[in-house]
Amino acid sequence: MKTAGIVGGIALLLSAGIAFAQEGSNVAPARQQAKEQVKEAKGAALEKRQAVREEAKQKMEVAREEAKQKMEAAREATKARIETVREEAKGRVEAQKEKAKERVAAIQDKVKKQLAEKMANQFERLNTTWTDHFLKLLDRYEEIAQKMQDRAAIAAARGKDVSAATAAIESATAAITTAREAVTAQAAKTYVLDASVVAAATSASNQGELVQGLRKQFQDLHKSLFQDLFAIRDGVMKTAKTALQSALSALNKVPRVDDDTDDEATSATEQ
Amino acid sequence: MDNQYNAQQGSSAVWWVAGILVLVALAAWYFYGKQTPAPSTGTSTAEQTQLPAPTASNTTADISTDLSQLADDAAALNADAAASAADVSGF
Repeated sequence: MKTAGIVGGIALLLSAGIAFAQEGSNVAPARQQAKEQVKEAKGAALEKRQAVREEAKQKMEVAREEAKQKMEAAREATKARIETVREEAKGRVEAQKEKAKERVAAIQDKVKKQLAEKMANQFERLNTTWTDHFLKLLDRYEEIAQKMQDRAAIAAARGKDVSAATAAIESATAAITTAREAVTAQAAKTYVLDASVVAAATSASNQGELVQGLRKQFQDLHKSLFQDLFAIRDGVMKTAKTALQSALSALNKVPRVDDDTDDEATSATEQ
Repeated sequence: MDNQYNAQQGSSAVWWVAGILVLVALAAWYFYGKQTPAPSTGTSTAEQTQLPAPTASNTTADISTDLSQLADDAAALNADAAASAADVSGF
């Protein structure tokens, strides 16, 4: 009886082990299946995300191309406008220039005459040179603003918050436009001798009066030209550059803004 | 004897006159040279300044380089103003 009891117990234990083993063999495929389902879902989500990003990238490329074309068009329009205003200004002061030439030609002192001839054209030339230089600088500022926009768009496509940077870039672009308008207005200005206020030299006796009148004119032209150019340099040009610097520091505040790799895609591949 | 004396006096007078003329010429040259300074070449600093080529990429480091490479115009415009002022005051 005792032996039968022991044998029965052993049999029970053995059958329980088999039952557990059978149950275990049913659980393993289910887990495997669940794992695969999760993996598939992850893969699908990743693909979807990548597709969305790809679409965003394409949109960004289109926007970038449009912005570049717009920038080029604005540049061309400014160039054409500057040409026009300069031509108009030339026409406006043609008669005045001729009169000024007559006054300068009446100077008897050769050295003074040579200097006056040079200065009569100098102020106009300096204005052209500096307005051209400012426009070149503004073109470069615009290129830099475009680069910032591209960088912000890349960061935005990766899910970063670039709202502050975008606002700062827009301010910089507006400052550049304002500066461009001011420089165009400066290009339209003329700095020509006003011969009507300079006494004509009818004889050798009033040479002194002629030279004195011309000297006063040159002093006034010099003062007015450089006051205008300094105002542009220290005003709108400086504002545009400062706005660009602010936009850059706003862009720098975006975390890992220069990281072009796709974080989630990388981590998924690693898994 | 008198003739020899007269000839000597005449030649020294010529030397005196020549010396005075040279001195006057030198003084005039110095005076006018000081009064009318050599006019500036007329070439503006802005004409000579070439903007450096922009960097290729749009990383913030490169954008920062692009911005800092753009030279400050303050000195160049001041130089042009000074050259022009010198011309005006030399007139």
